[in-house]
Amino acid sequence: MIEIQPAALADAEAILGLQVLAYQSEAALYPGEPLPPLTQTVAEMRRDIERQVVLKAVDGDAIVGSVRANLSEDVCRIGRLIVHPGIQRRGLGTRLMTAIEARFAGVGRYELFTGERSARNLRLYERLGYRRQRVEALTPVVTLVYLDKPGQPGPVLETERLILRSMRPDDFEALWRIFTDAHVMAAFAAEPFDHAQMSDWLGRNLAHQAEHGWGLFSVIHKGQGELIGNCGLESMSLPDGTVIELGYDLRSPFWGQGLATEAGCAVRDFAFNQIGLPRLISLIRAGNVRSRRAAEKIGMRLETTVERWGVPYWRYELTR
Amino acid sequence: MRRCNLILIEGVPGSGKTTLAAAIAGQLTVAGVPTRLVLEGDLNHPADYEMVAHYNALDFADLLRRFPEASGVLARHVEIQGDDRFVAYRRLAQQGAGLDDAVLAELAQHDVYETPSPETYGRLAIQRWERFVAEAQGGPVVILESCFLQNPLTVLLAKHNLAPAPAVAHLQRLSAAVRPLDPLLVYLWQPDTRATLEHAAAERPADWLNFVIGYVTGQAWGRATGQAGFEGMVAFYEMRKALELDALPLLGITTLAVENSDQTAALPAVLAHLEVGAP
Repeated sequence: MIEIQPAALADAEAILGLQVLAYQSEAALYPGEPLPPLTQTVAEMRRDIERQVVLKAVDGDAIVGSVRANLSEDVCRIGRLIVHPGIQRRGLGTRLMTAIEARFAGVGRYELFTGERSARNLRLYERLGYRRQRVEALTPVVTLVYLDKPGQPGPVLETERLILRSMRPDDFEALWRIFTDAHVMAAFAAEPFDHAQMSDWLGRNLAHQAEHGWGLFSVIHKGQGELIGNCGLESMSLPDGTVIELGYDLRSPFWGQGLATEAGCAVRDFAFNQIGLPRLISLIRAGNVRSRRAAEKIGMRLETTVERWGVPYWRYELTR
Repeated sequence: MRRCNLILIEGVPGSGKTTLAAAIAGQLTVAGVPTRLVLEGDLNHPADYEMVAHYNALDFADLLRRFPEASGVLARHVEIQGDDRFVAYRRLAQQGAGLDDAVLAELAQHDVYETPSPETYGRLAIQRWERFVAEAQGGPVVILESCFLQNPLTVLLAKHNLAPAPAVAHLQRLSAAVRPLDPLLVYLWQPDTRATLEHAAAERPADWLNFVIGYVTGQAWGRATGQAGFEGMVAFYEMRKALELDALPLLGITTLAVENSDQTAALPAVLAHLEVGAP
């Protein structure tokens, strides 16, 4: 059973080895060309893992595939799609592409390139909906073909002061500011997130968004032009079944201005009118009066107090 | 480029084998030299048994009787060499052959590396290398890591606690088998084995460390020496490294021992030896 996971720094050597292995067939198409994937160093590979989203396909303890991508402006640039030569043509390349695209759900456009002679790559990309945009002659032997396809930006909600858009991997730094905000974390009675916790949190929400088409939105303050929080929907399993929670977290300098209410109302309308959900709940840590006020203004009503992870929560509900 | 059909890369875990193997393969490919890179764990390994079970003809017939539902798949995929029967069980599982867990567990118990007798293991290993050499002659330069010294010595020393002399004799037989390929054996080493292992342990998953400690200290060598834990693992690799460095001049093939402390010395040394232009 092959699983696709984010790569860690410790995977650098194994991925580099696999990359050299997988590019042997490419090298045969471009004799005498120093293809960069063949001469990349471990240090450079580590840098890629640090600075890009690098996925690996794992079979037991062996890495059998990988792909990486980064975001610049609103374009997700995908590269270095590799599959172990022993298991090519069995759909793993497609799975890796689907996984990396899902990680960047919400971008305007995906872009990648391959060599003009790499017919198999070109066929795969065209089957996945990529269209040839331009060619670039790199050397007399190597001509690169650039292909792209439009992203599916997902829903965008606009209110008087806010824009709520799909969450993206490059929101990491801005989101981390929320979860290291001392006032925010005091309200959760939790320690500030470290890098790994923040990665987990963002990864979970991106996966949720990719699966359902919606999730927690990134909240952009129109006046400030910056990401100030998140607000949206999250499917969760409770003892009485699967429910959809409406949640919101804003950085503390933006508290007390009705912004959580404004974002929450937009999400409430989106949930009821556009996705057609019958019911929303909110779990608010008992004693968090600020959050409770926002929930009440959104129209939610306190139903009961429940215990989660040994901590009392107020359970608010609203039915369409 | 100097005549050479086989590059073997060895050294203790963390010494830089995979990195060097990939770098050499990349540079040779760029230089237009047809190259085949094989990494440790490749289920299509041409020279080593990676997750391959071994039976003799009688035991294999018995296996088919005991697992009638799997017998069709096993009979179709068994590789027959004289009286020996081989099943690449992990590769079959990966290809979705439909072997259930009980059969896979049975096959894993009969993995070549679990063979109870070091002599049988030695015989099977030599046969495998001889077949590989026959196929590889005149083909691309094959780059292998770990399978020439590390894998045989780990099983012979840790599992069987074989004395140095018969262990070195096995390596000499392997060397004689590969000589037709004009091999180059690159041995990577660092003066401080403990530091090398600590570095490898920090970089790799905890499962790896636990497995290695269990393997090298939990069998015959560990019982005989009383070595255990991380310290026992360091002691094992120091012993293995000393044996390997002593054995290199006795193998009768070209060897290049590189002090690879900064993990960058080896590539230029190998390319210079092979007379391949650096980039």
